[in-house]
Amino acid sequence: MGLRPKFSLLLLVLACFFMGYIHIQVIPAVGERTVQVEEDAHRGHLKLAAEAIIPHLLEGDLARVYELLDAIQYDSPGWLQVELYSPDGRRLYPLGLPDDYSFSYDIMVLEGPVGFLQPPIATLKVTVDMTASYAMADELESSLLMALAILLLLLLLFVWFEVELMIRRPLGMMLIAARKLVKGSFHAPLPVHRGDEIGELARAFADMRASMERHHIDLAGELEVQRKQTEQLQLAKQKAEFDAMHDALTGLLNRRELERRVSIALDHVQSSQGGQYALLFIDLDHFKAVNDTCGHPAGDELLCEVTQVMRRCIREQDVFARMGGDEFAILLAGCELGSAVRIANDICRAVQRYRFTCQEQNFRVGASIGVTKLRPMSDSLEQVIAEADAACYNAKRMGRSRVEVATVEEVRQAVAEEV
Amino acid sequence: MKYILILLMSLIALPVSAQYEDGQKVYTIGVVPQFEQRKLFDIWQPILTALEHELDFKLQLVGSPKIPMFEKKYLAGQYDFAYMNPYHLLKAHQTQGYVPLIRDGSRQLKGILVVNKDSPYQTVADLDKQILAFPAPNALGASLLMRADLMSLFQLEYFPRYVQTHSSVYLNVALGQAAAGGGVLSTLKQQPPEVRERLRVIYETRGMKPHPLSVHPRVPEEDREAFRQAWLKLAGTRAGSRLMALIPMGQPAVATMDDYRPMLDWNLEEYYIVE
Repeated sequence: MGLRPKFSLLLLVLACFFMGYIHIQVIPAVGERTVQVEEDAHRGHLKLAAEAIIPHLLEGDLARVYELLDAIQYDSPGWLQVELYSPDGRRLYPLGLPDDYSFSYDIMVLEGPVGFLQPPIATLKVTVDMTASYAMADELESSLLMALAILLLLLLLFVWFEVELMIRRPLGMMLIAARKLVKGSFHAPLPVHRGDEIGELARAFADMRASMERHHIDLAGELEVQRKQTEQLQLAKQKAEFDAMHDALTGLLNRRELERRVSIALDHVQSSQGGQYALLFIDLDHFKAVNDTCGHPAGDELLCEVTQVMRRCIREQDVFARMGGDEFAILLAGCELGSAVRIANDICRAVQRYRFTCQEQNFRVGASIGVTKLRPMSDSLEQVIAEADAACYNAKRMGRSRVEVATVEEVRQAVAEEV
Repeated sequence: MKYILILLMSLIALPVSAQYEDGQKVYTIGVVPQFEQRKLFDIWQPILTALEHELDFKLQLVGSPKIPMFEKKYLAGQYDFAYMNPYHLLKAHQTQGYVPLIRDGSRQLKGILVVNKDSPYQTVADLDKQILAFPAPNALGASLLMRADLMSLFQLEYFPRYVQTHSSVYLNVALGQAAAGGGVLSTLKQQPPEVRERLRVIYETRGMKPHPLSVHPRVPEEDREAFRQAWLKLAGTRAGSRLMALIPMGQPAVATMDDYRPMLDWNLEEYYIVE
């Protein structure tokens, strides 16, 4: 249950207790007091009437007494009957009582002595109609109850609004601020300008929030630094991985990576799934002449350009690697030996057509290519590479710039070399 | 009160002899205060105004708030004309020579003694050593003459209680506060039925002629006579008769001192109480 219903319930209970107390203790007392005041007024009036008739009664001037009592009764609308009795109990006034000397409404009978000595010279008795007094008391009670109820209602409303303004709303603001804080918002309004304890609490909350915000900013900065560092590390790692797999000059795969790919392909060929792979081993012809003539930078440039020339002859998914110096290797996946030879010839022709210009000299290079097929019976990676290398060597030996397929002889030789 | 003060001041300014106003003689006329001043003026002023139409002098009504004051004034001869009770006439005649002119010829003035209807008293003698109520000590019929009768004719021993008014006398008797009370028949008749029903008359005093309208001897004979004739003439009219019935004077008749002389034998003087 929230503060508002709790407090409303509390106020309601208090109001009920208050109205109960008023109804039981105060209102009846007010009513009684009102009737008492009326009674006292009648007693006072009775006393005055008694005093008025004393001199005439002492003189025995009963006619004057009658006149006075007639006038007094006439002037006192609430007095139903005035009676005067002698000390021996005889009625002196009025001469005769009405036949219907009984009253159906609320009456009060008052008696008072006439005269200041004991025994009094007579007794004055009045029958007072209290209907109006009781009605007035009832009306007063109702009015008072209504007025108190309205006053209480206004008071409760005032208290309710005060509590609402002083406690619940500031707390509500702080609650909203706290919830926003949980979601990362540090700028929800707070009742910090109040001078009371809630204001103090709000200021403490604001201080705490500001402190958290500062830490949050610091932490975010730290996280950003860490993120950048991680990114840099990631980049460095990727570069290292790239460098580990690629040739620094041409950007082609390096020998180790090629060997890893060839090894995977060999596993693939030897597995039940099968597959056809061909390995081309390429050695550039006359590269040394460029290197010697134009220097290593020119040699490097030539290597890069030749790489581009050869790249255009193979598919994107084909594995193209620089084995070192002017040696390259290409692993053709899903390629029969005939196709591999055709591709090798394309490469060979392309390299032949290529001209490298350096220091106003045109150089021609060629490519001696050895082709071998990855077979299920190939024992190892080294054997396959050795087959291709041997075929390449064979091509070089047979006149350069040509393609040679690893023969059975070469295979055997490669096996023998490995053994 | 203001009215009374004006009256008193006018009385102080009065000369003993007749005044003149606008060349006309003005005579003063005093009336015994049987009723309150305003009622007296209401009764008498219309009569005097009517009389003035017949007379070549004016009449100025002079009131007195209480009987003792009235007595002092007529004993000093301050009134030219005066309406007074028979006993007052005797005194006024003795001192100033007032003589009666007019009286009510229709009745006699008597005091009555009333007892409670349920009381055992049947005769005056039964009232021995009882409390008797009287209006005022010198009220002529109800008190003075009654006391004179009780003491001189019945030698009754009683305790008088003076209760101011006739009505109080009757109430005291009706309520058992007094064994008997002195009154007059006319006032008894004025009482409400519930009072009258409770009373019984057991004695009537000797009769006397009612209140005379008397005149001071300084008033010339022709003026006296003119006044008497004007009065009788007015009484002869229906309107005048109605006005005079209020005095009360049912049938105005010529009054002489002889009408009242028998009272001199009653020794009322002995029973007069000076206040």
